Amino acid sequence: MELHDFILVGSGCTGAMAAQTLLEKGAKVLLLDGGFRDTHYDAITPAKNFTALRTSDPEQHRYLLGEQFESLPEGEVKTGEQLSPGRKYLVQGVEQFLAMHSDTFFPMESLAYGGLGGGWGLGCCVFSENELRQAGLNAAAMQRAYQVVSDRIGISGTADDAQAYTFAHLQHIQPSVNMHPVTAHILKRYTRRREKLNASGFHLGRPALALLTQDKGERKAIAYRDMEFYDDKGGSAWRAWMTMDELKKNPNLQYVGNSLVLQFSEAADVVTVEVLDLHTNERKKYFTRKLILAPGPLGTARIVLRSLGNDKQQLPLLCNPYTYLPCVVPAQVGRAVPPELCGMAQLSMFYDADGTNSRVAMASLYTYRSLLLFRLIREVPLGFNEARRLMQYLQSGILIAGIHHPENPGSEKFLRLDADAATPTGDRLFANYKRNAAEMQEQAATEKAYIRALRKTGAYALKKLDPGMGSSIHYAGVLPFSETEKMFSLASSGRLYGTANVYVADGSGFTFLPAKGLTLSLMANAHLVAEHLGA
Amino acid sequence: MTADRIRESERFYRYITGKHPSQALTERYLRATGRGNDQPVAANTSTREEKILAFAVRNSWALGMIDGALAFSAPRGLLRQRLMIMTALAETEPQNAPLFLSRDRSPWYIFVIGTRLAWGALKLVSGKMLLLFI
Repeated sequence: MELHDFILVGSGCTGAMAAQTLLEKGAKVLLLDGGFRDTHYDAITPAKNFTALRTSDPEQHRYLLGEQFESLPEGEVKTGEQLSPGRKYLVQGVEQFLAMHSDTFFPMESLAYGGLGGGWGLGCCVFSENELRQAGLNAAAMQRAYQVVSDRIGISGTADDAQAYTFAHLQHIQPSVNMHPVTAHILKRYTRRREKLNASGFHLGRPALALLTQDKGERKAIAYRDMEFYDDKGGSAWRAWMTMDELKKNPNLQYVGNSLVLQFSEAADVVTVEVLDLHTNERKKYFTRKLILAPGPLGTARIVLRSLGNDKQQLPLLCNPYTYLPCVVPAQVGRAVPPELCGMAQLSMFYDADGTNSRVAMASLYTYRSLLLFRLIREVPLGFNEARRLMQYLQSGILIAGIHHPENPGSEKFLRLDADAATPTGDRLFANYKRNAAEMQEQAATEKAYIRALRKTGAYALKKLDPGMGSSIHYAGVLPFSETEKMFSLASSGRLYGTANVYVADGSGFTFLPAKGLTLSLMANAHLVAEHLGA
Repeated sequence: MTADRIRESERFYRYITGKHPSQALTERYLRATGRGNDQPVAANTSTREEKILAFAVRNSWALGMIDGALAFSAPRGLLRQRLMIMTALAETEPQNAPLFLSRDRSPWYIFVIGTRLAWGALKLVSGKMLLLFI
C-alpha cells in the first residue's frame, strides 16, 4: 500500500492554486483528475485575428462551427450551448459520469484538465470585508491570499470608479486592454453623468481580468486577435491548465488523469480514496494522510454524500442568478469595427444600492462579434434575410450586459444524491433551486435599475433573457463554514467536520455568494487551505 | 431525399446570400442537417413543420414570407432551424464575410433599414395568410 502525503482532487482554478501552494512548501502531491483535453481544435485554428480569418480562410467553419457542427445551437438556449468547438472538451463526459436531474437547476460541470477555468470569463474581483464576513471567510487572511494569487496569474485593470469592486488594493496590476468603440462611448457618457449615477448606486469602470497586457514569463501580452472564445494562443488569458502544465514539471507532483473520485473513508489516520477509471470503468483505491477536495461544489457534494450521507441527506446550494440584457447603443450603429479587439468583458457596472459594498450586483458589458452573427439573427423576429441586414447594421452598436445577482441560502435550494443503477457511478445528483418571492422582487428591481442606468449611458436594452438557474456557473455553499463542529459543514481551515483528514478547497464552504466574479476568491481560499495544510 | 435536400440548400443559400452555393457548401449543409439538429423543438409539430418546409422549398417566392411569419409564431421550428444552419454555414465562407461583418454606413442607410423592416412586416402578414393554406 503506497501512502501519499496529500491527495488533491481536481485541476481547476482551485485545485491548481492548492497544488501550487503545497508544492511551493515542498509537499508531495498526488493529483487525481478527469483530465479531458482539447486535442484537435487548438491545432487547426490559425494564429490570425478574427477579421483576417473571416475574410480569408475557407476552412474557418471547422473551428468556428466545429468539424461535426457541434457549436450549432439546438432548440432552446441551454447552459454551455455557447461553448465554441475548441471549448466543448470542457463538458466532455459530464452527462455520462456526472449524472444530474432537475427541473429548476441546469449547471455546467467539467471533467476537463484545468476544469471550468478553461472557459472562465477571466473576471477578477476582490470581495469586500462585508462580503467576506457574510461568506464565512477570514477577511485579513483573504486580503493576503488575493495578492498571492494575483501575482501568480497576472491581472490587468484600471484605477477608476470600479476599483473598489474589482481589484481594490491589489498591487502589480497591469494596464487594461484596449477598449472597443462602443464601450469607450459608454464610459464617456458615464463620466459625464457620474455624480447622478453614483448617487443612485452605480459605479462603472474597467474590469480586472486575468488577461495580460504585458508579457509575464512565457505567457505573452494580448495580441488583440478577438479569438478568446476559441483558443488560448500566446497564453495571455490565464487558464488553470497553464499553471498545471508548469506544476507537472515538479517531481513532487504526480498527476493521474482519467480519474473520477467517487468516495473516501477514514481509518487510523489513513484516508482511502475510491476512484473510477474513466477509460476502463475499473475501480481503484489510493491511500493518503490528507485528502483535499477541489472538484467544485457539485463534485464535492457528490463525493461527500457518497462517503458520509444517506439517501435522504440534503445539502444546501448557492448559485448566482444571471440575466442577459442585449442592448443597442444608437450612437455606434452602422460603424466599422477595428479588427484588433478583445472578446472579454470591456466594462463592469456595479450596483451598490446602499453604498456599503456588501450586497452588490454586477453587470459585465460585452461587445458582440466573434460569436458570429447568426446567433443574433435567429433571435430577431424577422425573416433571416431582413434580420441579417438589420443585424449587420446594428452589430457595431450591440452591447450585452450580463447581470449577476448576490445570493443567500434558502430552504428550497438544495442537492440530494439519488440512487440510479443506470449510471457508471450508481447515482444521480438531484437539485432543487427555487427562490422566494422577496428574492425575485429584489432581482426584478435590480434589473429595472440597470436598464435605467444603461439608458443614461447611451445603451438601450432590447429585451431581457433569463437562461435559467445554473447558467451563471457560479456554485457554492454545499458544505457551509461553521464555527461549531457539525456534520456536512466545514471548519474555517477547510476541514470537513466529521473527518480528521479530509479538507475542501473549493467554494463549498461559502455561506453567501456575492455577485462579483468569484473565481479569484475561490483561488485565494484554496491557497489558504493548502497553506494551512502545508505549514 | 438527398436530391430534395440539395434543392433545399440551393434555395436557402440563394435566399440568404443571393448567390448559388458551391458544391462544398451543399455537402456541408447535407452533413450539418443530417446530424439531428434539424429536428423541431416542439413535439407536436413534425408533420406540419415538414409540410411547411416542403412548400417553402418548392415555392421559393414564398420562402421569405413564410420565414417572416414563422419568426414570430415558431422561431425554433424546422424551417427556421434549417435556415439558421444555412446562415451559419454561409457566414463562415470568406466570400460572404462582407455580408456579416460590420462596416461604415451612411446615416441615410437608416432609411434602407426602415424600408427593409417595412418589407419584413409586409412579408410577415402575407406569410401568416399563406400559412393558413398549407
